[in-house]
Amino acid sequence: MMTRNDDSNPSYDDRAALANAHRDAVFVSIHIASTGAVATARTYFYRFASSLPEVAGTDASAAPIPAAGGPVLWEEAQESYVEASKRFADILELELAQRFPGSAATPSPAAVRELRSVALPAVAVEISNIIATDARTWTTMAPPLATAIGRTVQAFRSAGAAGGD
Amino acid sequence: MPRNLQIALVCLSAAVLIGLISLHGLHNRIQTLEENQNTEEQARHELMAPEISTPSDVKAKAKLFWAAGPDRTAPIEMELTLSAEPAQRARQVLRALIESVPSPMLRTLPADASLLAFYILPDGTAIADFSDALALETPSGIMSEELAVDSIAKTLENNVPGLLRLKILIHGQEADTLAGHVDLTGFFDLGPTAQENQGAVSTPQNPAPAASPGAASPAAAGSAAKSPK
Repeated sequence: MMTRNDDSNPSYDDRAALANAHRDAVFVSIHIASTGAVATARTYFYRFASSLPEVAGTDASAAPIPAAGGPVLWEEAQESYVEASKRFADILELELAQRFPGSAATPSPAAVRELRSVALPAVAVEISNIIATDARTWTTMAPPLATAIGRTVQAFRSAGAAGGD
Repeated sequence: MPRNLQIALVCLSAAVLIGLISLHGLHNRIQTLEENQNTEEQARHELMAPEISTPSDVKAKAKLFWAAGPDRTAPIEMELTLSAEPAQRARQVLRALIESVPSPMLRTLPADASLLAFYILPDGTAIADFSDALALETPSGIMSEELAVDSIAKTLENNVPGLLRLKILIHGQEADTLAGHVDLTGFFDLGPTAQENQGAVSTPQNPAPAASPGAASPAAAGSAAKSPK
């Protein structure tokens, strides 16, 4: 399932909503960077900031706790999938490093907006670099990228790690 | 030569002469306008970012985090006039981060960007409000945007004590993303000197070209140490 097939530009929420309509799926967001070494790839998973320490005098128990499997805040939908996303990103980055020499060996946590409201294991892959204007650069990168993603999904499924934490 | 032709040639010569004189004048005028524009730009910058000084200012060494390769920032020690008051101190270091870059290759924030406001909430949340240029001129991409945020966050956490998290605004408003990728709707952690183990260097060691905003550079990145909530 693609969130877009043309030059349309669905909002982050629209993309997340489309993804969240599916169960037992993974979300992979593919980007082209304007910087970085040409023909390398990097994988990102979302990392939320820590909560602030409780202020004295406030009752932490008064805060609503979402029931397991119940509704979650839209802006924090990814939170319970962060570990699964990281595991997916770990596998994908290894696959990418094999196919795109010079790529990082491990994925990076980053606040990629598109991942935040996705209630699935979700990663972003950024391919460098847009300065490669030769179309052949991109066409030759597409098959190994697709293979890497496909193999990662397969390995992730085999490990039974698709669910939220 | 017929008299009519002579008159026509004289008129044409006069017209060409007048044209050349006008062209020269026009050229001079364009140059003057360009100079005035530069002066106005400088004046605008000075107006928007007046000298930040407080009675408690002292000369001290600050660690400013600039690009140090394709995927990270590193501290460079620089002597600055710093206030004891945290919000003023933060303004001073962020201003230096934008304006005192040792080399264009190390730049993490656009040269045209400016800090419009900075304040600290009682819970340790720092609010940094930057001009539109930060969003418009930071190279679009996860790596380059992370590099910009990382540079701001690490510079604050290493120079301004007591800050717990950072919120970045663009021109007084919450922005969805910095330049299309990095989430600005949440907060960024500011650990107490979390990256101190990297150690400050007085000069960068063979710094690789980074995602210099405003300069086409093939390499850049963010170490992705921060993320919003």
